[in-house]
Amino acid sequence: MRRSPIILMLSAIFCMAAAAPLADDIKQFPECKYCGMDREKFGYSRMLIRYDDGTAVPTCSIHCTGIDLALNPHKGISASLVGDYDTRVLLDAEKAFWVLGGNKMGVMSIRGKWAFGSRKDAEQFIRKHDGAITSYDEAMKATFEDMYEILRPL
Amino acid sequence: MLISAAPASFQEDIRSHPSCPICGMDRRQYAHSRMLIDYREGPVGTCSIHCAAADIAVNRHKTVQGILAADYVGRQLVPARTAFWVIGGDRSGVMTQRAKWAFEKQMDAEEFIRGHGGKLAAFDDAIKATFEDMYADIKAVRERAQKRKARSRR
Repeated sequence: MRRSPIILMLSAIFCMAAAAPLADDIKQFPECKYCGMDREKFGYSRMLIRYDDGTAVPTCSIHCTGIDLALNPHKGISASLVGDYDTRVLLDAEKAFWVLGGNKMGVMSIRGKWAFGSRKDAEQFIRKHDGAITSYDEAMKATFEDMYEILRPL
Repeated sequence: MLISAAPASFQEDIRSHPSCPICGMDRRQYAHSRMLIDYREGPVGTCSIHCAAADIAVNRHKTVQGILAADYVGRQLVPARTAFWVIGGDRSGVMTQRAKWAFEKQMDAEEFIRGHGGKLAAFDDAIKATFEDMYADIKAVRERAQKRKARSRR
């Protein structure tokens, strides 16, 4: 079947519009500093820490961010950013609504820790997948507790 | 409790690993809390169980052959797993609010508890407590560093 050039052109435009543009931080930092995982693939859990000294640390998840914080306890933080689970837009991790647990396996950890820009989205996730709303501090505390579980066979 | 000067041979690891790779602290000064992780890929000497846990978390791909901890009294390195640990008490911890000390002999651990409080524990309990405390301890180190920085600017 022959397709008209107009239909082909419209299809091409539609495909271009449907492909979400790659976020700037993913373009700049495609891989997690610690585990090397693809930050585009894990755009929904990725984080970016900006330190006072101008350095930035890109990670795939709150787990790898926890590792960075443990290795750099003396550095002042200017921004902690996390990908929104639904939209992948980077959010202020301190202000995000975090969901701890649920039936979706976490990234680099069994217990999931997901960030949402709105309470409504977090609650919608919980209705589908379980888990509980928490703060960034509590999610980070849980991250370190879960590291013990991972390293337990020591 | 007197921390006696142990024979120099007991502290050979301090000569080969003079500073903690995580926090940079002097392992001679913290000889009473230092640890040595015997990775198959090469040993790493830290100032404390806090930094040892951080190092193990970041080096999950390495093989841990053994973990040594300093005896609080004699400062000689002993296997961390067979040591008698004391969690808590009135002595300030190293890199942590809640102290974790290792003793080669149960008698010494119990004597410490009589003098300073704390609870007798196994290595696994001490590692678990280290990860539970880690985020709060990192935040405390960061706050102290920021205060020092602010004072030096004045």
